[in-house]
Amino acid sequence: MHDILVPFGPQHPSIKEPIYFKLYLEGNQVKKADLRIGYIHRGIEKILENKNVLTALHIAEKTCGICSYAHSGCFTQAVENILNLAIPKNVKLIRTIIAELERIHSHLLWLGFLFHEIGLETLFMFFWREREKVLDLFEEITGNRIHHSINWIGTVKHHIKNKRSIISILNSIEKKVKDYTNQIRKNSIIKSRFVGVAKIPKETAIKYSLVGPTARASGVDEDIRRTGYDAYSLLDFNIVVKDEGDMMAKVLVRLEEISESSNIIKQCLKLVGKKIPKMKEYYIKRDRSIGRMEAPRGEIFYYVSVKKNKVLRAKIKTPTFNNFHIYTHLLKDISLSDVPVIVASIDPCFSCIDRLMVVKNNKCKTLTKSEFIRRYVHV
Amino acid sequence: MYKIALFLSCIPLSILVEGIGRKLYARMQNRIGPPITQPFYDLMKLWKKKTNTPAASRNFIFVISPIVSFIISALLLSLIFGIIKFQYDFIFFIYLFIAVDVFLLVGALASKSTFPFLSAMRDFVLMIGYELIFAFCLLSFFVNQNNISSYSNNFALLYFPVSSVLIFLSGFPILKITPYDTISADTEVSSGMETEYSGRLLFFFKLTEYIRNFSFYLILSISLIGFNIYSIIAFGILLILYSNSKATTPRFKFMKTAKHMIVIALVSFVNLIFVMLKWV
Repeated sequence: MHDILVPFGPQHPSIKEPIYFKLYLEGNQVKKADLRIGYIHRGIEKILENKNVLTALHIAEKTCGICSYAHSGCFTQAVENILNLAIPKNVKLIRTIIAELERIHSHLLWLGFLFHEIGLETLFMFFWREREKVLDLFEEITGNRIHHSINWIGTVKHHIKNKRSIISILNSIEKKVKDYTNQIRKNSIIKSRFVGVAKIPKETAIKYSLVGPTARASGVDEDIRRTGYDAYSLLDFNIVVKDEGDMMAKVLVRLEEISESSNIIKQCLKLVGKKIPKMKEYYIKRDRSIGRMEAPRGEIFYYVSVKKNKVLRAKIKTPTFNNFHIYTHLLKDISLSDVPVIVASIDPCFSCIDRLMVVKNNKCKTLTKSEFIRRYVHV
Repeated sequence: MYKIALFLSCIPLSILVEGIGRKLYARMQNRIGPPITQPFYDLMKLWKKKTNTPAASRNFIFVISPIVSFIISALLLSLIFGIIKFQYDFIFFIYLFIAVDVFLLVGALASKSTFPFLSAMRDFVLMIGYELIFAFCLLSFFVNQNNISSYSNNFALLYFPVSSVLIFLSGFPILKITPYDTISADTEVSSGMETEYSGRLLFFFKLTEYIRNFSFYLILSISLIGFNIYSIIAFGILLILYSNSKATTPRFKFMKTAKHMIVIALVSFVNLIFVMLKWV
């Protein structure tokens, strides 16, 4: 067998969004991979410039279809930090409910895609059928399935009406997910495809600054929800961490996070009331702040600078931007059969990550986390 | 005359069987699924579409391969129904069965494209396994027979249990069904050997696959049960079993599939020796 170059993407059945992997194959073994992003750069940060804050909020949500609330929530958080607003408890609880529902729907989506990658289309259909229930819940609460548009500065647009239907749907999803988890744990072919594949040791996860369930599956116990934004300081929940770092650990982390999210939503539903403040407009003369949230894939970060109520600059850092660098480490000395599983392993959202970066004087330097903290973080 | 009618009706029947298979698969996933006539609409659509051939693939072998495969797959059916009949024609059947795949493989290699090449290489490696299993097991059923159309081993499933299980296992890579469908794993090798085919060439490619699959089901049900009414029930049971496997099992990695095929091929060879010793 001689060496061949396989163009994996930007259009490929296993890649749901465009990204290009140049795979160098020797027989059935991938020796190394180069990757190229940028196929879906839409200029979101440029579009946000000079937009009224409320218009920008509407646009920011459209950055991603899967973690749309995370973008909207993060932008809102940054603007509310600028205004130093005291957010009422009910608003925080409703935002937490939507964020956790989004986490459930995102994890179910990813699980479905993952089983499609290994040829088990049935589990793909089953997980997406459960996801449909969550999307129907979104429609019931916010009027939209994907881009919920529930956030407003200082408040939310809708309150929770039918608590019983939310609880019964969550209970049915939990039951099904528990069933599927048992099947996944027992199936020998699934274990042969996932155990030991895409293994990321804890030290490597820290070195590459991985975030979200990808990092937690490698034993990195980090979650932005611990900072207590929204209603998380009022709630009792566990952060799911596994030590194995392989594909099976990533699957189990997300399956258990679905149960934890369901638990969080039920706690919020017990505490939430119907009274929410009316929507009003604010004026920001000139200021800037940041927002951080735990999106389904990890930490999402917004830097927003506002002048005369118009966005001067918005910088978006999505979790996949941290995580996708691990591909060059993972796509080495592996079988071609493992490539779709590894590509899916970080739960990538390539539409979120494309940002324009200006490299000055063609100089490029890679910093480790400790070097970055030493140089740029002033405590 | 009725044999010719039966032979001609098998071509649309093979397309219908594909539709029934898709419907069964969908129902197992708790979906409604496409109508059972969907493959007819797909083939009609492909026939009407323009055949776009990439510049690198514009060669005689790329164009002629699916058409030759289709003709050979039609010959398979004629052997089963005795339109072409001679002594020990089941050996010729095995050659033709392998030739269908070989011509598709040659067409994929002639396309000079990466994914068809990868898929063809995988097929070439696995063919050494699954075609041998199929050949050895079929020979064990036909060891005391003259030809296919006068097959007289009724309910051979009971007398040759090992051969029955092994030939059933060979069906997974032949029909491209999980867990052994690595040849056409679309998440790894895109559309596999048919990647560069479109329009009428893809029509012949797909039709060849449907007829080949139908021939496999037919020869398997006849070998296991015999030329009687119960073989129709066996045909249906096989369709359900294979659809069930497709719906409930994920895919093995390529190297594992290759190892399994080689081991099963060795077992089927030993089984054939035992069967032949028993009959001689």
